[in-house]
Amino acid sequence: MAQKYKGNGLVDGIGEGSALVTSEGIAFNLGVDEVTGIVIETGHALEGQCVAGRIVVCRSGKGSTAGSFSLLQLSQRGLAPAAIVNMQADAVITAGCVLAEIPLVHRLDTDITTFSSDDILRVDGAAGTVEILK
Amino acid sequence: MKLTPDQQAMLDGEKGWPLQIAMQMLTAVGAALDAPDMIPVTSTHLVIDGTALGEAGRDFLERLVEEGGRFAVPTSINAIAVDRTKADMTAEEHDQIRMLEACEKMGALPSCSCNPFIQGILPTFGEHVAWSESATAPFVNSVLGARTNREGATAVASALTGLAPRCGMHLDENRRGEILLKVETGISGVDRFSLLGALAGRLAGDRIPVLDGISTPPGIDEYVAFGAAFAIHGASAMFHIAGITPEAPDADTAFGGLAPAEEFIIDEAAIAAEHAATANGTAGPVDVVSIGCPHASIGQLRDAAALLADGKANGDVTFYIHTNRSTWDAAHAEGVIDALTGAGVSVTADNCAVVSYDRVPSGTRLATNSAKMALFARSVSDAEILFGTTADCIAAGITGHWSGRQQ
Repeated sequence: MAQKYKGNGLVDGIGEGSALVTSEGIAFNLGVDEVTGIVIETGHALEGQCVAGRIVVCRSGKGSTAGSFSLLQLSQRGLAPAAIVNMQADAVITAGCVLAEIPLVHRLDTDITTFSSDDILRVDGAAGTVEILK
Repeated sequence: MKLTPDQQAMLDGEKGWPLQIAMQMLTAVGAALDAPDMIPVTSTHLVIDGTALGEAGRDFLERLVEEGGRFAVPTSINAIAVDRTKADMTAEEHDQIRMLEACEKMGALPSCSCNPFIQGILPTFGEHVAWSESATAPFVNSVLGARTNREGATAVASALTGLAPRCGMHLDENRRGEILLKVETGISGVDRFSLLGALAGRLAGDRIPVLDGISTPPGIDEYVAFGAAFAIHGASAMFHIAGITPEAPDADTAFGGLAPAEEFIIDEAAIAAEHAATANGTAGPVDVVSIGCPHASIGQLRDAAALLADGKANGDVTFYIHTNRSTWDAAHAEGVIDALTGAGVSVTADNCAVVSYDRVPSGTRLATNSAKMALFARSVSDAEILFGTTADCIAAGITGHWSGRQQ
């Protein structure tokens, strides 16, 4: 049976996809290229990886507060994450997920490093759950 | 979160899409940050920089207008990415104007400045507000004693609803000092307050510092320079200066009677080290001089005109002073703009060298008196930074050669 973890759901919706995991925060403004969806922050653990369609699992948001609109831009270009899972969501990612309709869950009953990049996850924003499908 | 019937109606969409999407943002952020309920705010300040918001932001703001969105509280606008009076605009610049016009249609004041304080836009002690632009939050919280978090898109939601989640800097217990910075050297002038702000921001991280040892109250230009550098070098929204800022009659009160978690000494060597870390350029020619980050006050424009009275900008130097429209107009009326323009200076309004579609090219050797401009120009444009006093920068603009303090 698939393993399921519970946290607090902040933005409703269902997202399924392969995980992209880091214990660092992500700056969606200036840290992620808005035309390609690729993490461009120099030295970031996910540098060079694309967030499009992934379940982005990270500590929180960071950097410029314009990051909310960056999530909306990514979404309009079809490059948004399928869902976001945070250790502790901040206002930038949370407002951005509302604008871009990206499911968002935080404060899971497990450490986010439970997940590995390329795990297939299912996030339910309304229920606040994250399930490892495989 | 506990919502009033009126707030719940907004969230349920009974009052239209603009208020619904606004309440969705505010309740989600409130839930994330453990806010028990909403608090009324009395003003908002919005970042609508087109280089950051893009087409998605333009479409969002225009949809708010189309669906009847109106700002519920006085709302000012941050610096935008183009001079409003520019003749031939690119498509992107035109988009920026559309974003500004959308905000004006919702009732915003087109202040277009990262330094609305010198335009007289000043929340008062104890007011709850929702201001974006990181540089404004430390000034609002620390110098004025009003209360704001470092807002982003949420400021638009607060403008529409007149509400913000009750959390963070709105609460007394989150406004206490956490670390002590003992300032053991004299600080004056915007350049030195800017360096002190950068250092304080980095040492503080997301904590609130109490600066002890500053005996003379900073002027508004010095506070603004300090706050901008403080914000961009750290994540904190507030500082205290013992004996000077309104919630710090003395250091003990600022700490709420608790002991600081950490203490640092800021002496002349620390300021010199900060200067060296800020300026990565060496002696030699100068490509760009940029003064007015945050936007220059009328006093700074007058000072620049006086320093240029017997000189003229070197033909190989692009010499900018950035300010906002109302300050530009006032300076123009008294002849200061003509004096500066006659000396070869471009006095820009609404935007700046970095918040602009026309960013300085990579590798530019840029002289500035602002640690915020230095950090931004280095990270966005890979510029080589020459850092000094306003007079150092103006001398470099005249000679075309950097002869200010070297790293």
